[in-house]
Amino acid sequence: MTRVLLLRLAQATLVVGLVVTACFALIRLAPGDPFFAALEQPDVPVEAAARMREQFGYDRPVLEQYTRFVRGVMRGDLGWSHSRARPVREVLVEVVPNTVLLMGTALLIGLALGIGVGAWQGWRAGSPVARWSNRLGLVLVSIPEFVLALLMALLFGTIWRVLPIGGMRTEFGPGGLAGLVDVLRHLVLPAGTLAIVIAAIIARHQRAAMLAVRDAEFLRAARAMGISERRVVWQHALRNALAPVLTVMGVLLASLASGAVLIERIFAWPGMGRALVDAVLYRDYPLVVGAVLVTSIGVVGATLLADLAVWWADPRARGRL
Amino acid sequence: MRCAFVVPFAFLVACGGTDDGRGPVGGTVIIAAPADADAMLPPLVRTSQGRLASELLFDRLVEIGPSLNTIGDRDFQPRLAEKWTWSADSLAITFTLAKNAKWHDGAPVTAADVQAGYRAIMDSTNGSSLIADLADVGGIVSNADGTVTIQFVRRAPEQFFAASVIFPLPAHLMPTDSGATLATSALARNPVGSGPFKFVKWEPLARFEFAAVEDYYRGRPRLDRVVVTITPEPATGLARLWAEEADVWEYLPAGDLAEAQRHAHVRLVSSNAFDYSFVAFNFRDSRDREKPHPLFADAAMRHAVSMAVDRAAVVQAIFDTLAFPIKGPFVRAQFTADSTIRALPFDRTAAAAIFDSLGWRVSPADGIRRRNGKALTFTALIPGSSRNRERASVLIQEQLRQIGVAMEIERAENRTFTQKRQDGQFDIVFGGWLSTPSPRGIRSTWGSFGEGGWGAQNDGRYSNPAFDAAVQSGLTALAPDAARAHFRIAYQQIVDDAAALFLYEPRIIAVVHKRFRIPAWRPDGWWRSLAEWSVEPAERLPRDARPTAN
Repeated sequence: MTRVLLLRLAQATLVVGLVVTACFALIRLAPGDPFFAALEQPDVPVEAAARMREQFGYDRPVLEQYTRFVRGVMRGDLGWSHSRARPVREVLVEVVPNTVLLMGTALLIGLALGIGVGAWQGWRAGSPVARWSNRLGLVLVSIPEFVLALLMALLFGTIWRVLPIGGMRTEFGPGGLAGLVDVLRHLVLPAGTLAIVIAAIIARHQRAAMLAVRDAEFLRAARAMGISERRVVWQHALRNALAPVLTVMGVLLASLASGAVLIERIFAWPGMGRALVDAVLYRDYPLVVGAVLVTSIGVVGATLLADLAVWWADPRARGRL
Repeated sequence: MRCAFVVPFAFLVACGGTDDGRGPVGGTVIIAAPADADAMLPPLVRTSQGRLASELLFDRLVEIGPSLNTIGDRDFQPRLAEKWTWSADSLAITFTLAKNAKWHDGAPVTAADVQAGYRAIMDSTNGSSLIADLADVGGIVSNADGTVTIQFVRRAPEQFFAASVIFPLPAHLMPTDSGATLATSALARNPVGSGPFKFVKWEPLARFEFAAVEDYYRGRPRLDRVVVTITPEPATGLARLWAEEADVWEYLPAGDLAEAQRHAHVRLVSSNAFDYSFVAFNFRDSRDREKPHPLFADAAMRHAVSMAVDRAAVVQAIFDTLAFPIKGPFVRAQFTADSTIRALPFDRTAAAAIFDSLGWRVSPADGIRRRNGKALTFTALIPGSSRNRERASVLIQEQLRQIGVAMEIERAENRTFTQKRQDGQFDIVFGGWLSTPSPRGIRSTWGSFGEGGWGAQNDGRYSNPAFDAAVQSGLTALAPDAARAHFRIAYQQIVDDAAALFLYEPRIIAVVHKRFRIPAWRPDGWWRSLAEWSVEPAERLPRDARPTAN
C-alpha cells in the first residue's frame, strides 16, 4: 500500500508540474501582459511599457523567467500580483480558505444528500415518490448553475429577505459566535446552490448504482441470514453501490472548481475562482500561475483521496489501485 | 414596458446644487462596486475603483471646480494648497500649503511631499497616465518659507490644470531602497494619505474600508465610514441594494429602471459621463499598414457607411433615454463641447446613391452590393466585454445589410481586442474613450500619428493637418471662448471627414439609499463629495451607529 501511495504521489506531483508549466507558457502566449491596462489609457508613454516589463523581468527570455519562477516556488515565493497589488502568496492565503469553506461545505452537503436520496431512489425504484424525486433531480441537473443561483438570490435575498445575498459577512456585524453564525448565514445561498447541483448529479449516479446491486445474490444471502432490511440497505447494498459514485467524485471535483468560479462571482464570495478569472483577464501572470498551482494541487489531491475512498469502500478495487 | 423608462425620471434628483448646512456627523456608506481597486496610490491607479479609493485617501494641491473649465486658475478650488501666486513671467506658480494639513500618521504635509508626488508621476516605471498633463512642468522647487513652486518650461492655458493633477505623497514613507518600487512598497498596500478618509483595511476581492479623519484640515467628514464591497455581478449588486445590504450602485442598466422604481428606499441620481463610444474606420490596410485601406481610405465610402446608419435609433434601442447620440469626439461635460456641430445625416437614399456612384451595385442574388464580382463586406472588431457595443454592432449590422453592405462581427476578448486594435488588425472597430475635463486627450486619440504623443492611440490612423492645427490652436488658446472656437473647427473637420461614426455618450444613473443627503454629484468623480454626505439621525440604519474606539 505504501509503495502504491508513493507512486500515486509521484504521479500527482508530475501532473501538477505539467499543468503549472503549461499554464506558465500559455498565459504568456495570450495577447497582452500585466501592464496592458496602463497602456490602454491615452497619454501613457510607450516607453513606460518597456520600463515596467523590465522592472519585473518580463523582458527576459521565457525560459529564464520560468527558472526564476521555479526557484521562487522552492522558496515559497510565488511572485507579485499586479492586479491585487500584493504578493501572490498573500492573495492566496486570503482567498483559498474562503473557497475551501465554500466548496467543502457544498461538497459535504451535496454528497450526503446525493448519496442518501440516490440510494433511497434506487432501493424504492418504481414508487411514485421515487419517480417524482428522480424527475426533480433531472430538472435540477438541467438548470444552469447561474440561473439557479440568481433564482436563489431573488427568492431568499430580495423577495423573502431571509438570507444575505452577497459577501461573506454583514458589514460591521457581530463578532464571536454570533459572527460565526453570520458567516454561516452568508454561506447558505452559495454553498446551497452548489450543493443542490452536486446532490442532483450524485443522486443520479447513486440511484443507478443502487439499482444495479438491488437484486444481487449477496443481498439475498444477507436477508436469508436474518439481517434487518435497514442493515441490508445501508451497510451491504450501499457500500457496494458507493464505488462508482466515489469514482465520479474525482471528475466532479474538477467541474465543481469551475462551478465555484461562477457561484463566487454571483454571490460576491471572495474566493480563488474569482481571483483566477480576474487574474487571467488582467494577464496577472504570477497570480494566474499561483492560483493554478493551488487549484491543481487541490484537484489532484482530492482525486487521490477519492481513489483511497474507493479502496476503502470496495475491497475488489484494492488490487487495481 | 416603454413607460418604465419614462416614469422613473420623475424621481431623479436634481444634481449640481450645493448644500450650505453640512449636516450631522455619523453614518456609514456601503458602496457596491463591480471590481476591486487596482491600487490606492494616485500615480498607480488605472480603474474607476482605484480612483475612488485614491481620491478619498489623498488630496490634490488644488481641485478643478464644478464648471470643469481647465483654462487659467479662475475655476479651481484650494485643497492642500490654500493660496497661490503667479510669477511675473507666468512661468512659475508658488503654492502656500494649508498650515494644518497633515498626513494620516500625523506628519505635516510639506513641499517635499509635493515633490515626491510629482516624481512618482514622472517615474515611467509607475506607468502613470497623468504624466502627459505635466509635460510643460520643468520642475518643482521647495522654498525656504515652506511654499512650493512649480516651474513651467512654456506658458500654456492649462498650466494650472497641470498643478491640479499632482497628488502630494508622503515623502517620509516613500520607498528608499535601491530597486524598491512604489507599486510593491508598504505604502501601496497600507496607504497613508492626506484626504478626508483614512485607510483601515483592504481585503482583496472582498472589500476595502476607510474611516473619517477626525482632524481633517478642511473639517471632519460627515460620514464615519466608507466601505466598498466588491460585487462583480451587476444583478447581485443591485439585489444587495434592494435588500439594503448596500447603499450605492454607480451604473444602473436601462433594463433595471422599472425595478429601481419599485424600491422606495432608493433614489436615482443622474449625471453626465466622460466616456463616449464610436465606430472608427481604419484608414490603413489591416495587413500592411503602409498601404491605404482598400475601402475606408476613400472618404466617399466612409460617408456612405456613416449615412446608412440611423445612430439615433441605435442609441434609443440600446439605452432608451439613458444615453445621448454624440456629434463628435467630445462629451457634454467638457467645456469645449459644442452642440452646433453638423453631423452627417441619416439618409439611406443618399448613402445608396454614393455606393452606386462608387460602382458598388446591389446584386439581385443575395442583396449584397458587388463591384467587379467582389462583395462589399468588411469586419467589425468589438470587445467581448461591452454588452452595449455588442448590441450596437448587431443593430448596425442589420441597418447596413438593408442597404446591401455585409458587415461581419468579430468579438474578441478584451486584451485580444486591444492588441488587434493597436496593431490595426480591423476594418472598423467599435471603440470607446474615457476623456477628462481637459480636451487635450484628443491629440492622442484622433491626432495624426507622430511626435509628442500625437496619434499614439489613433488606431485607425485618421490624419488631417487641418484638424491637428485646429486642435493645437484650441489647446494653446488662453481664453475658454477662443479655445471653444478652435475646437469647434476641429470637431467639424473630423465629422466632415467621417473619421468615425460617433455613437453615444451614456448618461449615468446611480442608485443611492434615500437616507443620504447628497450636496453634489460630480461627473468627473461622484465620490469627490463623499466627505459632505450626511445621514439624519432619525433615518439611520444599525450600521450607521458610531464605531467604537479601538
